Amino acid sequence: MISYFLRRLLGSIPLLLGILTLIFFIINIAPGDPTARYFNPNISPEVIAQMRTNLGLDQPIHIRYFKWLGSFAQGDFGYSFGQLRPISEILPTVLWNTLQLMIVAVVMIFILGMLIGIVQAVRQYSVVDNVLTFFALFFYSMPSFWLALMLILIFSLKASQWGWPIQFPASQMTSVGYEFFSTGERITDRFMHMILPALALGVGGAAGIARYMRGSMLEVIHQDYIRTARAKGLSERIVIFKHALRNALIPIVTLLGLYLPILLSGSVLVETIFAWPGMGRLIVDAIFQRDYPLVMATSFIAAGLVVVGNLVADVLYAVVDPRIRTE
Amino acid sequence: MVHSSGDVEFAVPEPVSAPLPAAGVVTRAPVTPAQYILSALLPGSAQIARGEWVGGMLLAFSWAIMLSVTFLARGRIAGVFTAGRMPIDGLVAVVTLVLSLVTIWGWAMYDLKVRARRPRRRFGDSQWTIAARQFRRNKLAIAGLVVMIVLYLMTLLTPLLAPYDPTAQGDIVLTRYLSPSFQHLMGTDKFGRDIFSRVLYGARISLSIGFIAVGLGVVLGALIGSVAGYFGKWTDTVLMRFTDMMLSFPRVILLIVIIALFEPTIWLVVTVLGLTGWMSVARIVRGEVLTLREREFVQAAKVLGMSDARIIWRHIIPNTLAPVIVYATLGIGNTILVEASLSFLGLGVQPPTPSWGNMINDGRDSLITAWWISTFPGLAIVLTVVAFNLLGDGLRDALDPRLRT
Amino acid sequence: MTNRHTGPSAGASPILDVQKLRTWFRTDAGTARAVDGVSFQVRPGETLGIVGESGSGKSVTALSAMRLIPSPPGEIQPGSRIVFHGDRGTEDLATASEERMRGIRGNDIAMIFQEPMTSLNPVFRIGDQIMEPLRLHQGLSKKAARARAIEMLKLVGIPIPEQRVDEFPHQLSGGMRQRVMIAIALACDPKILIADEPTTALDVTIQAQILELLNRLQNELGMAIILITHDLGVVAETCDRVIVMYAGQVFEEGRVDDVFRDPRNPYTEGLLRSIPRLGRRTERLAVIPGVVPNPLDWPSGCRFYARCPYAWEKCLREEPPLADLGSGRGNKCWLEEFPERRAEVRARSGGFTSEGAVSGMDAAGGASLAGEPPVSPDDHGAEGDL
Repeated sequence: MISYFLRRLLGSIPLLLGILTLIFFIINIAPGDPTARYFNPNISPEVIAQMRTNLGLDQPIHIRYFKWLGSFAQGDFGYSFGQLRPISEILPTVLWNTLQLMIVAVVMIFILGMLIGIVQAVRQYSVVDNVLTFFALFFYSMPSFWLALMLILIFSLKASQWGWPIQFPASQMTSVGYEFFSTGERITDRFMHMILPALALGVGGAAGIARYMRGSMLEVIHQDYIRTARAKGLSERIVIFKHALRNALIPIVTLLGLYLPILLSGSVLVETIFAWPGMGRLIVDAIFQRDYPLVMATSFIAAGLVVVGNLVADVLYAVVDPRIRTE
Repeated sequence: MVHSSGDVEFAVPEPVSAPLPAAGVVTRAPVTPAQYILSALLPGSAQIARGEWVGGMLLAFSWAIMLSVTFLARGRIAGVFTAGRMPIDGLVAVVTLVLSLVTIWGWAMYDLKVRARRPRRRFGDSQWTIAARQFRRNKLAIAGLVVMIVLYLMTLLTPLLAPYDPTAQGDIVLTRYLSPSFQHLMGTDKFGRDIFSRVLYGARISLSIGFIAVGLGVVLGALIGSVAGYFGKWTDTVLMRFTDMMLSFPRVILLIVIIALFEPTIWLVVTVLGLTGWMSVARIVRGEVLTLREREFVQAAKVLGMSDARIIWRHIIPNTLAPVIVYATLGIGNTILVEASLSFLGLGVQPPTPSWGNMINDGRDSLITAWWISTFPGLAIVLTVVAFNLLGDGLRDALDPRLRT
Repeated sequence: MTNRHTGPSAGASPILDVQKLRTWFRTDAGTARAVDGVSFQVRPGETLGIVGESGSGKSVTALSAMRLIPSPPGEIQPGSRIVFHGDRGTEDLATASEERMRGIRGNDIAMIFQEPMTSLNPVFRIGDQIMEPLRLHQGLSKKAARARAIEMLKLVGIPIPEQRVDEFPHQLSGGMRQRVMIAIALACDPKILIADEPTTALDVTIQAQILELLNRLQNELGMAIILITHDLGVVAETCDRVIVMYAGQVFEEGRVDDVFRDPRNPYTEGLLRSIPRLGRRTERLAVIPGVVPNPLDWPSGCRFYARCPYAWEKCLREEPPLADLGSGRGNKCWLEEFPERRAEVRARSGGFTSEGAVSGMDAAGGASLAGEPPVSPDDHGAEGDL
C-alpha cells in the first residue's frame, strides 16, 4: 500500500517537471516580453534595457529556464507586475478561496451524481430512469457559464424583483459589512454566497457522474455476489448500498482525477461571473494584464492541483479496491 | 456402479431463447407507374401510399420545408444573383438549397426505383451494416442525427434564413432591448441587433470550429497514439508521458494562456483547440493498437514484409476507426462548449462577429432588463451539444458495445 | 394445517414440500415457462439430487424455493406452493412476505452457487462476509460473530482460519472460495442447504473434496441438502433420492439406487446410457438425439417426444401423468401404462443407441473420446441453428 503510493508519488515528479517546462516555453515563445507593458514615449530605452537586465531577460533562454526552475523549486514564484506584490503572498488566500468552492462542488457532484445514478440503476427503464437520464443529458450538455448566468437571473435578480423569500447573492464571497456580523450570520452569509457558484460549477459534473454511476451500478447488480448477498437474507437496502455500491464505487473514484481539470476550467468562468476572488479569476486578470510571472505561477498551480488530485484518486482507488491494496 | 466424478457430464448450452427469423429474404411489392408519378410530384407520397410511413413522411416533410424556404427567401435568392459583387455565402446557400431539393427528390425516386425492389437482406452482413441496423433502432440517436443534419443545413442556409443582418445596428433608440416578438423572434440586443439572426450566424462559427478543431485533434491524436502503441518502448513512454502532462492542464486555462499571448483570431482558436484536444484520441488509439499489434493479421503483415507505415495505415487505422468516430462525435459537442467559454471570456471569436459565447457575454450586463440576450444563445448551445451527445452515445452503442457506460 | 404429502413411503415428514411450482419469465419474445408444475419433497437430513440438462429448469426451481427469482421478468405463478416446516410451524414460501423470506434466507434455507470465483464480494473480507448472516439472523456481537466465523472456517477445512478470516476473496483459490461459500451458508445452521452445481466450476480433484466436505458436514450438522447438478456421477455418490427434470417438469423420481439400477423413464435411461461405465467392455455410448425444446414454446403432449425412441402417437397428443410407482418412485411416461411398448421397441432397435449420434451429428464419437460431454452433439446442433 505504502510502496504503491510512493511509486505514484515518484511518478508525478517528472510530470510536474514537464508541466513547468511546457509553461516556460509557451510563455517564452510568445511575441513580446514583460517589459512591453511599460513601452511609453516617456520612458527612455535605457530604462527599459535596465529593467530587462534586472529581470534577467537579457540572458540566454536556457539559463533563464534553469534559474526559473530553481526558484520555483524553492517556492519563489516571482513578483507580480500587475499587483506589485510577491506572488507567494497572493497565492495562499486565492488558492484557499478556490479550494473551498471546489470542495463543495466535488462533494455535491459525487453525492448527487451517485444518488441519481443508483436510483436510475435500481429502477432501470422506469419512467424515473428515463426522466433522470434526460435531465442528466441536458445538464451535462450545458455550458457552466450560461448556467451561472441563468442561476443569477432566476435566483438572484428575478427573485428579488418578484420578492421571493429566499434570494441568493450574485457576487463575491461575503456581503458588505461582513466584518460586523456575528458568527452565525457569517456562516449563513458564506453559505448563501457559496450555493450558486457551487451549483453552476457542479451540476454538469454531477450529471456526468450520474451517467457513469448508472452504468457501473447496472453492471454490478447483475454480479453473482449480489445474488449471494440476497441469499443471506440481507435487506434490499443493504444489498444495494453496501454490497453493490462498494463495488460500483471503484470505477467512479478514478473519475475524481478526471473531473478535477474540468472543474478547474469551469472555475475560471464561474469565478469570473460571480466575482469570486479565487485562482480562476486571478488567472484571467493576470492574462489580460499580461502579468507573465503570475500567469506562469497560477497555471503551474492549476496543473499541480490536478496532479495532486490524481494522487488522491489513486490512494482512494486503493482504499476502495482491496485487490490493489493487498498486492 | 456408475463411474463417478465430473469428466462425464451433460453440459448443453443454454437453449436459444428467441426463435430465429426464417432464413432468406423479404421481398416487397412492385412499384406501379402511378406511384412513380406521385413520387415525382411530391417526394415521399409514393412511399406513404405503399405503407412506408416513416420514410415517406420524412421525405415529404423535408421537401415541404425546403420548398417553403425557397419561397420565403425568393427575394434574397434573386438578390444573390443581381448583387454587384456576388456574396460568397449567399451563393453557397443557394447552391445548398438547390442541392437539398435535388437530393430529396432524387432520393425519393431512387428509393422507389431501386431500394423498394431490392429484396431486404437478413443475414451475412458486415460489421458496419450490423452497426447501422443497431443504430437505426435507437430513436434518440436518430433524433440527434436529424438535429445535427438540420443544424449543419441551417448554417449553410443562414444567409437565406436570417431575417436581419447580424451586425446591422438598428435605430439604437427604437430597436434596442426589444423583447421577443414576431418581428424579432428572440428579441434584440443593446445595439438593436436581431438575436435570432445572430444565433443563426453564431451556429456557423460554433459548428465549423467544433468540426475543424475536432478533426485536427483526431488526426493528431490518431497519429501520436498509433505511433506510441505501434513502436512501444521509449517512444511510447515519452509520448504517453507527454499526453499525461497535457491532460494535467485544465483545458480552458491552457487555452486562455496560449490565446492571450497571441492575437485571438478564429484560425488561432481552431488550431489551439485542435492542439489541446488530441489526448483522449491518442489514448484510445494507443490502447487499440496495443491489442491489435499482437493479433494474427498484423503479425502476418509483418512477416510478409510490409513497412511499418503501411501496416499502420492499412491495418491499424481502419480497426481503430469505430472508437475514434464515437469520440469525435462526443468531442464536437465538448469543443463547442469550450469554444463558447473562450468567446465568453473575450478570447475566442471577436465581436462584432457573432458567436454563441460572445453573445451570452453581451447579455451579461443587462440580464435583468433583457434576459433574452443571454438565454437564447445558451439554449442553442444546449440543443446542439445534446444532439451531438445523443448521436455519440447512439454510435457508441451501435459500434462498440464494450464502450457502453 | 395437516400435511398431506403424496409420496407413499414418507419415512419422516418432509421439511420442504414443493407442490406444482410454476415459475415463468415474461420476455419480449413471449413467456418462458422455465419451471412448469414441479413437485418434490425434502426430508430432514436427506440429500435430494435434482438432475437435468442446462435449461431443464433445475436452477430456477432452486432459486424459486429461496424466492430469489428476479422479478420482473420472473414470477412464481399463483397456485404454486412451497410449504416449509420450520420453527414457526408450516408456511407457504410462495406467498410469504418479502420480510419473512429475508428471515428465512441464510437462516433456515441457505444456498451456495456454481461460481465460487464470482460469488464472493471482492471488496469485503471473508470474515465479514461470514459474519454478516450471523449478526443479521442470530444477533451476535461483532466479537462472537468473528469467533463463530473462525470456527466455521475451521469446520470447512480452511487452514490457519485466524489469518484467513481477514483476507479478501482474491487471495484464495477457487476451491477455498467454495469452502468459504459453504461456511457462509452453514453459519446460521440452516435446515436446508441448496447447492446449485457447487462443483461444476472446480477441478476434478477439488470437486471430490468439496463433495466429501458436504457429506461430512451433513453428518455433523444434520441439514437436508438439495444438490442441483447435471453430473450423474455426483448424484450417485452423494444423494439419497433424486428427481430428474426435463423441460421444466419432473420426469422421474425415486431413491438413487432404484433409479440408477432400473431407470423407468426413457429420458433417465438415455442419460444413464450415455455415461461410460467402469468395468464394462468399451462400446459406443448411447446418445440422446436433438436438443431441449424452447421454453417459450414447449411442445404439447410429452415434452421429450421428439427425442424419445419409444415415443408413439399418444405421446404426441397427450401429456403423461407422473405415475406413482410406490416407495417414492414416480415416472412421467406413458410406458407405465403401456409396458409392452418398451419391450417391443427394445426388441426392434434397442432403445437408445449410438445411432442417435450418427444420425444427429457425426462428431459424437470423437467428442466423447476427447472427454467432451457425451451429449455434445446437442451443442453442435444448437450452433448449427444459429
